[in-house]
Amino acid sequence: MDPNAPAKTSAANVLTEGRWGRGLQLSGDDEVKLKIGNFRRWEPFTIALWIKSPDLKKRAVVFHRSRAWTDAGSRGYQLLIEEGRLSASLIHFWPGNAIRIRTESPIATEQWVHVAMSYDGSSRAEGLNLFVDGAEAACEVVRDHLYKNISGGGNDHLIIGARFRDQGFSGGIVDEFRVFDRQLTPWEIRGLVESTVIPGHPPADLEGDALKHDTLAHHDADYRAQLQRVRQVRQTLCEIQDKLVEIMVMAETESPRETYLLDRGAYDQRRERVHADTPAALPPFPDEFPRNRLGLARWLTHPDHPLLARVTVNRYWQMFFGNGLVKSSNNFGSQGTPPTHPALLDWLAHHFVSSGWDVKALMKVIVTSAVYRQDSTVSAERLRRDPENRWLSRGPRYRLPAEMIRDNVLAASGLLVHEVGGPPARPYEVAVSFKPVKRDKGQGLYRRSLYTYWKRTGPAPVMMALDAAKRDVCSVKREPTSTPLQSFIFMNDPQFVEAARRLAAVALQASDRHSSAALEHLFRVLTSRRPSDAEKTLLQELYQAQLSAFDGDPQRAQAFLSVGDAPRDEAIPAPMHAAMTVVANTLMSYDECIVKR
Amino acid sequence: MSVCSGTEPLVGLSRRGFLARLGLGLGSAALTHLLNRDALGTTPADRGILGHPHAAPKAKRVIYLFQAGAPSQIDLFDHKPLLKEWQGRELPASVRRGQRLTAMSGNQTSLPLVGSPYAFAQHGRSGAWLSELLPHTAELADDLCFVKTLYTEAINHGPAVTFMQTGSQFPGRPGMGAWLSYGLGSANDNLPSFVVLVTKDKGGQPLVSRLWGSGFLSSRHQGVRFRSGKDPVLYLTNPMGLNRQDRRNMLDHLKALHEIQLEKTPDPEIEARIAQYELAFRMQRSIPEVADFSSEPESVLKAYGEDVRKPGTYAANCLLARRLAERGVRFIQLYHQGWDHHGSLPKALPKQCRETDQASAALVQDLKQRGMLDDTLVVWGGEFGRTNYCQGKLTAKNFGRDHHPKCFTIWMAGGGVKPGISYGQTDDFGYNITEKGVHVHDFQATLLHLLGIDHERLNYKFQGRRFRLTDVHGRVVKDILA
Repeated sequence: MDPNAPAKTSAANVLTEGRWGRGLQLSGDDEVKLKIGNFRRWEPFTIALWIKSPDLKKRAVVFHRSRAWTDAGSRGYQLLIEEGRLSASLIHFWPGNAIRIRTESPIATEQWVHVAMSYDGSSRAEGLNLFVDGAEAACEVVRDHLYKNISGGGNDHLIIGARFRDQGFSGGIVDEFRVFDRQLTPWEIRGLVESTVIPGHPPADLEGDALKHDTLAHHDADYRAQLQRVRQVRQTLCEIQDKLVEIMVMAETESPRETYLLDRGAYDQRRERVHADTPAALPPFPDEFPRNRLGLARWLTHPDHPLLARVTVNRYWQMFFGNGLVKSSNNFGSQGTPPTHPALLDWLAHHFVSSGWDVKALMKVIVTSAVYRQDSTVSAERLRRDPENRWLSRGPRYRLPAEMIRDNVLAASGLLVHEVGGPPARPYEVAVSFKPVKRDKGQGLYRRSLYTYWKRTGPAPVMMALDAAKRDVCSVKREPTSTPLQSFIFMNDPQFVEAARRLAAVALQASDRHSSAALEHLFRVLTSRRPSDAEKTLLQELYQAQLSAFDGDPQRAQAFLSVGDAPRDEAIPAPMHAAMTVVANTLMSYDECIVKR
Repeated sequence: MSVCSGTEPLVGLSRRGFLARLGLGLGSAALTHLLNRDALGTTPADRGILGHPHAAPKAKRVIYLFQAGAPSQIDLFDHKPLLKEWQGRELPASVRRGQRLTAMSGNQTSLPLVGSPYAFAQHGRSGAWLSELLPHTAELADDLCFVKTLYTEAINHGPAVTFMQTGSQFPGRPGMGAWLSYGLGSANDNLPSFVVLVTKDKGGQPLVSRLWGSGFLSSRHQGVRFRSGKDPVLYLTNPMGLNRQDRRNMLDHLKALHEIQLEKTPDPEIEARIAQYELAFRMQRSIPEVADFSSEPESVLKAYGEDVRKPGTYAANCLLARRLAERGVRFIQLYHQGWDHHGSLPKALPKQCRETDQASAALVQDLKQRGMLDDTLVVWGGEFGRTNYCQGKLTAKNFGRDHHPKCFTIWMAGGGVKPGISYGQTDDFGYNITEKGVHVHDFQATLLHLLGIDHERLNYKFQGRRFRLTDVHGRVVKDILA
């Protein structure tokens, strides 16, 4: 230990009779802070001490290098007493990424016990050992899956006896606390207990690995050099692994956690044990299926299962028609709405299953059907008789979902990036969310909305204003609304203004800057039809009015055209471009661009 | 019993249903007539699902000053001299009665009681006890109703704030503001009916935007957060280079395009869309106007304190709340973070009080002077209380307090609440309620009652079940009604 870096503690931990001379009795709430001990997971180390536990501890922190166990991560290493037994861990993120071993027997209380925790730098449970009174203790492996660093996370130094918001080693006495920056051999650890033992000179009757290791460690320079090499290679490996970005996935635990009915919901009030099962009203769960997520998936997708296929085709129907054949698409139960066309629902569900659950084929069946291809215009009389089009006597009509509205203007303007997959994109809107993050530059601004970075505590605000699901609870149906906040987005969101500018440029380029052809181009691209004469007149009128406004103040035109990162075609005169942008933006705000009819 | 209830989304709403929802009741009114009403869809006639309140409302609007993180009732409101006598001694088992503690202090080997280091005194004719940290609030003691026995079921911030505001610890339910928008509609032409103001640059327990979300209700009922920058509402301002004249020109032509479309397709949603663009145009004026304090006399600014001149501070948000209330915004939700004093309470709590005390009091006073307090309910409070024992090390100068859901204090003012009373009683240790406990659902039922709503009759059917703010609980606390 470094004599220039003494340990510190409060007076609440008191000096008392130790194993040799004086020891320190711990309060359980007060830490003994050392200035060493920030081991990385490729570094071998050994920590040894004498302890005297006043009683059988249910849980007690003997020493640790970590911030606090309240952080789900608990990153670091630690020696605890759990139900009287010693428990040593190296943790990146408990419980998924960690090593833990625990002695099979409880340690003695009210007497001095020598304890050592040694580690070889291998990131494996077999490299972690506990010694009690100089002999290796029989241990169970609780976890053996460490693949990232154990350093960082806060508090870089060893602490004895207590931890923030944890149960300390109250009333325990510690003495001869020693930290080694290598893995001691078993014989060396015995040397810490028995003064007669001389490291490097094991007795002739010492057998097996203990003898081998000690001899090699003390008398074989080549062995020591190889140990050093292993350490370096491990360091290289760990540093590569630490840099890898992790994505969380679900995995079954080896043995399922026991679940209990909790009395009035209190987590510590266990009543009878409960088991996962499926509702009695549905087909029984076959015995041959594993009782886990795989089994659940098999049960759900069994061709005889009455629900999954119907629920699924109903949702796709809802996507295309605004309503499902069962209107309560989130409720197929006794309080749900009965299907308007039960035979059609059954046929679609059967077709879907027999096609091998082919979603694309299902969509094709729907969109090429006569019912989908009907005109959506409706007479007042038919609107009165069937306001919601439950009887499907006309084509569907509904406001496009948030993602489609944004993707549509990006696609129309030619800005849309068609790349599939990859990490989330951060368009303009994430910089103005409730929890702002830095926006992207370049392609990330123009990816499909499906890829928009999502933070549940402050979701993408444009998506939210356009009724996207908040993703905090399951939502299978969105209610489209019409609010002034949406108007602000269509008119002022840089994403829309920029798209309008680009579309205006494309239209002007395609029409050799003839305004009437350019206006028709805009209209066709955004509504999929040609404008009527009356509509043409309106667009021309708007364009001319804005053209003269911007001609009179070209600086305003320049400013307006500077919205958004995408470069501008400088060959187009600014007032012309700006005036055409206003028209494009107007059409992006027009019902036929945001409502499917 | 007649149940006024909505149901799941009405996609493809009928024209009649649409008009009924707007409360216009125009039946077969000519479209041209409708189009001449530029405020269609958001007129004060938008009365929500209830059409009319169940009873004559005492409060027409609410300003909820949410103190996020849970202020220490023991150091502010709930005077417990016994704790000073017991300073440093263990929390008696007879008081704790084996009740669970949080995992944050539950592992401490010692739970030493800690009295408030702040001087308490009685104020006003009502004799309300208040700590020296709230001098401005103290001056208004006779206008306030202190509920000292609120209690909650949640033990940590996320679930507790969610419980307080949505009636459920789980995310996904509508908040009070959304319920009111759904039930009562909007009371103004030019502003949203539910506005959220968050003090800027405050640390502490994080807030999440779903607190002002609409849950399973239509997203038009969600709160609109006003920001403290150039755009109080997201993308309110025209892009650079585009002026109001251009916008008017654009909207006129857009409207004309929509009118052509309406001739072919008689769809009320087109009418609604036109109305929303017009409302947006008006909001581009009305929102900057409401956020601009230059018309406020110096005396008013002074009353709210120096901070009021800095946009985004609690004081500025209090004044903004009054201005929004004047303009008919029904529910104004403020959030002020930073009350979570697990440690270093003596350092942190006085600062929090300096940031909030004067402006909170000034708001009540201001409303009173304008004659608005009678029909405006002001609520001040957090999500739970704090423990009477010390979390962490108790020293001569320092201590902290852990979460305490079993009792806490909030105050209410105006809007049909009895002024100048303290309601409920906790034990001498400030740990358990001895009489007149008010559960969070009771508080919510009372709040709705003040707005003329029977909490059992404002509900919404979702996924096969009728939901309401108070779940299946809640009773109106009649004793605090004026």
